[in-house]
Order: sequence, then structure tokens, then C-alpha cells
Amino acid sequence: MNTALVKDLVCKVALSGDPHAYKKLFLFYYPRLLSFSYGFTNCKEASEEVVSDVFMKIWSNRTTLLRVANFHLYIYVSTKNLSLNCVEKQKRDKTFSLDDVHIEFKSIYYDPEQLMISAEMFKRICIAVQSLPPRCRLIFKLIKEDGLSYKEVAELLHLSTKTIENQMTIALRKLGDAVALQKEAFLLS
Amino acid sequence: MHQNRFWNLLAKHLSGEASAGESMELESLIKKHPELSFAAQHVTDLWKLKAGHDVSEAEKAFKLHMDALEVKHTDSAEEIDGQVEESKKPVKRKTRLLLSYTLLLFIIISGGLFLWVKETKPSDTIAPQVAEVSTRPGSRTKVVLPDSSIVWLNAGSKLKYDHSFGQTNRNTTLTGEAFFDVKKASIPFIIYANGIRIKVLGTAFNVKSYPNEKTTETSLIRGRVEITIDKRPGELFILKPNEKLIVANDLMRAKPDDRKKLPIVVLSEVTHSSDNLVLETLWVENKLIFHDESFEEVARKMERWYGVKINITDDRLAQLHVGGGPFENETIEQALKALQIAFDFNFTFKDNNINITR
Repeated sequence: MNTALVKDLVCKVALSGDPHAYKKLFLFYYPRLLSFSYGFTNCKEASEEVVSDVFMKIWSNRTTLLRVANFHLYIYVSTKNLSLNCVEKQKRDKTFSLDDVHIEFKSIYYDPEQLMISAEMFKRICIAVQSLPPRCRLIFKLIKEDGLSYKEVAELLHLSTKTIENQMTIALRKLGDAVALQKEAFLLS
Repeated sequence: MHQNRFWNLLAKHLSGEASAGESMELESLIKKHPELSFAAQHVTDLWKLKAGHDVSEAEKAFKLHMDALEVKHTDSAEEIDGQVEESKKPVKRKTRLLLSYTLLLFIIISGGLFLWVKETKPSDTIAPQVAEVSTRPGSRTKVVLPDSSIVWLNAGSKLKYDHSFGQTNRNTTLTGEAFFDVKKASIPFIIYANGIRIKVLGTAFNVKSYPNEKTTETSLIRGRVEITIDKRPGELFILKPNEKLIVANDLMRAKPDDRKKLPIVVLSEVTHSSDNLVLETLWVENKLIFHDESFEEVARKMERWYGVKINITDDRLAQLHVGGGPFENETIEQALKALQIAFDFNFTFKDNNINITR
């Protein structure tokens, strides 16, 4: 789903409370927001509740939705805020750090057969992704899988765009290293 | 060090953040260091993999969510009912107050009218109390108002102002669409259009308010306008350049229980074409353009523009989103033929009636 389509759906929800458009938005964002929220709450049930609450808020404020300049970012920020509220409820004394987020990658593990690579290389890629520092992995996922821009991620996580750029460089370099190792092995054999 | 730069550029390229210069730099880096191209290709492939999401899980979650929403909704519905009950009394008092004001106004107006008639009689000049400029479907016009403000009136529109315009007030009433270039002056220029009131001092903006359309739209090109909506008293909407305020007209809410709800107001931006023209005001330059709007809306625009009647027989076709133009000197037949290139439909032409079929 592209930005124009999301915009169109948001328009329909805002202008006429279109239930089909609302459902489409929900189905599109649910898995993404669930995994994003899980990074903060580390609890599936809590995240499910957070995402449902996010959408509840969207429905009750739908008439003001089109005043939101960037819906895609807005929904991630809402999810982050509600997730943090939820975490805060659980442990009020501990401050939350981005290094505590647990991010699961969907696209890279999803279907190794889609890639023309060997099982060995696939394993290497998985390890590379897993070994990325949590903050780096979160940034990489938000940009690659959730389609946010550098600027949006910077705004969402209260980081500078330069940091996002650096973290993305690190992530890609690690992936590239995993692939390059494979090349060497291939040449040796 | 070129390695780090390379991954930085590739990351930007893949996430669509790279500028044209950066993309070129990436290309030349790969050319210079062919050993990078293998990794680049694989990482690009990895990047393009889509995440597999379990739709059935989302579907289940949606059901649960809707149940939760319903529970919450019935709660808030009760709240709303309670409010309505409470506010009944003040409403009654308000109506009575309104009634007495109307009566007072009537007396003042009829008194004034009487005096005015008396005054004008001896001199025997027939000064119109209300001036009116209107256009028929198929024609557009440009008027210079007494205060030197310029108004372009689109097809099938009407602009009214009274004889004291420019002296004690600058009040106008608009039905249809007009582009205003208002001369700066200390008296505010006010436009009444379909339940909204637009107040400006000196600006350029477009107002679209056809009675048979779903929305009333105000698009600001430069300056500043203030908008109040009859049914949302106490709220003031201020537009900045390139912003557009869309107010849903009453006819949209056909359901009787929706009537008491406030009209929906949306603040958005004016639409720019690829060469940075503002589409909302292109008609002022005699150009007709359609930008991602339903065939139904396009037909209504064409009816006004060419002064014809268009009937779309197929419901699905009426809802189809089309775009095209700009049309300038084309006849309606040429314009429809141009649309036919991109969209699948047929049309028949008889006198001034056009039938559009699948």
C-alpha cells in the first residue's frame, strides 16, 4: 500500500466515516504497529491492546484526521506514546532506553526461497541482522519494512537525521559484510 | 573510507532518500570499485523482499477491536444524549431571542426602505439596492467591483452586493465559484457562501460553493483569510497561503439523525500540478482540468463549463476516478474524446444532452 492509497483511505474515514476504509487501514497497519509496539512492551497482549487503542483514538477523532499532515508518522507516534504509557504503568521507576527495544524482522526471515541465495548465506544474513544493536535494528526496520523516511524516524525517536543516516550505514554495511563473506567462501570452493 | 560512504549512499538510495547527485555518486563508486557491486546487488534484493504479514491474525484482531469500539461507542452515545437533553432550554431561549432580533431587524429595514424610497422618489433615479453579477453555464466573466477589487466568476455562478458596497461595507454573497483579488482597504471584505463567512482585508483566493455540490471550498493563494461557519459559532478558521478549507455541505448528511451533528471541516492544501500550477484557480485562465475526481464530479464541472446536460447511466462509471486536461479551446466533444483515450466509456451527443455509457 502506498502513501496515496493511505491518504485516500484516511480521507474516506475522515469525511464520511467509511467503515470499509477504516477496516483496510486497520488490516494494513495492525501487524506493523503490533511488532513496533512489541519492541516497547515486550508483551503481545499489551501490544494488541495498544494497537486497538490507537485505532479507537483514530475513530473517535476521525473528523480532525485530515488536519494531520503526515498520517503515517502520526500513527507510529501514537503507537509509541501509548506503548510507553503502557510500559510506564508496568514499571514506573525504570526509564526506558531505545536500547531496550526488541525488534523482530519479518521481511528478511520471511521467505529464503524468494532470494537466490544458499541456506548458508541466509543464515549469515540472519545472524547479521540479529547482531545489530537494538536501536540500529529498530531504525533499519522502520525504514525498510514500515516505509518511514529518515526524517520521520528521526522525529519519531527524537534522534537527529544524521544519527539515522549513520545507523543505516552501519546496518547495510553489516548486511553487506555477511554477503561478501559468502562471496569469498564461494570463490574458495 | 569509500566503503562507509558507499553503504551510506546505498542506504539512502534504497530508502528513497538519495538526491540525484548522491545517486550519481553511488553509481560512479560502484563503477570505480566493481568488487562492491556483488554485495550491493544482494543487499538490494534483500531490501526488496516484502514482509509477510498474517492477514487472518489482523482480521481476528479487527473483530475484537470492533467489539471493543461498540462498547465504548454506546457509552459515548449516552453521553451525547444527555447533553442534548440539557441544552434544550437554552436553545428555546435562543430561538425567542432570535425571533425578537429578526423582528427588530425587520422594522429597521422596512423603516430604512421607506426612507430610501422617499428619498429617491423626487430625484427619479433608479439606483439598484442590490447589484448582482451572474454567469450562465458555459460562460465566465471578470468584474471590477466599486472598491477596485477584481472578481472572476466561473460558469453558473452569482455574486451579490448592496448599494453601500465600498462605502460602509464590503459585503458580498456568492453562489457558485469565484476567484477574488481583493484590494487592500480598512473595511473588511466579507463573502457569505452557503453557511460560511469569509473575512479578508486584501488577498487573492478562490471560493467554490455550488449549491448542488458536497462541499464548499476556500483556497488561499496569498494573504490571509478568516472563516467562520454558521453552524460552528465561536470557531475561527485562519488560512495561510496554499491552504484550503473544505466544509461539508448539508446535503451530504442525508440521514435525519445526523442533522444535529456539526458540519465536517477539513483543512488541506491546494493541489499543484507537476509544473507547479495551482489547479484550484486554473479556470481563471480559461483552463478546465480534472485531477483525480469522480466521473460524477467531472460531469458536473463539464455541464457548467460547456453549458450542457450530462447523464451517466452506469453507477460504477460515475464513481470512477478520472483525470485529464487542461482543456482550453477544445469543444466538449474533443474533451470527451481525450478522456476516452485513458478511460473506457462511450458517449452519445444529442442537442445539448450527453449520455455517457460503458
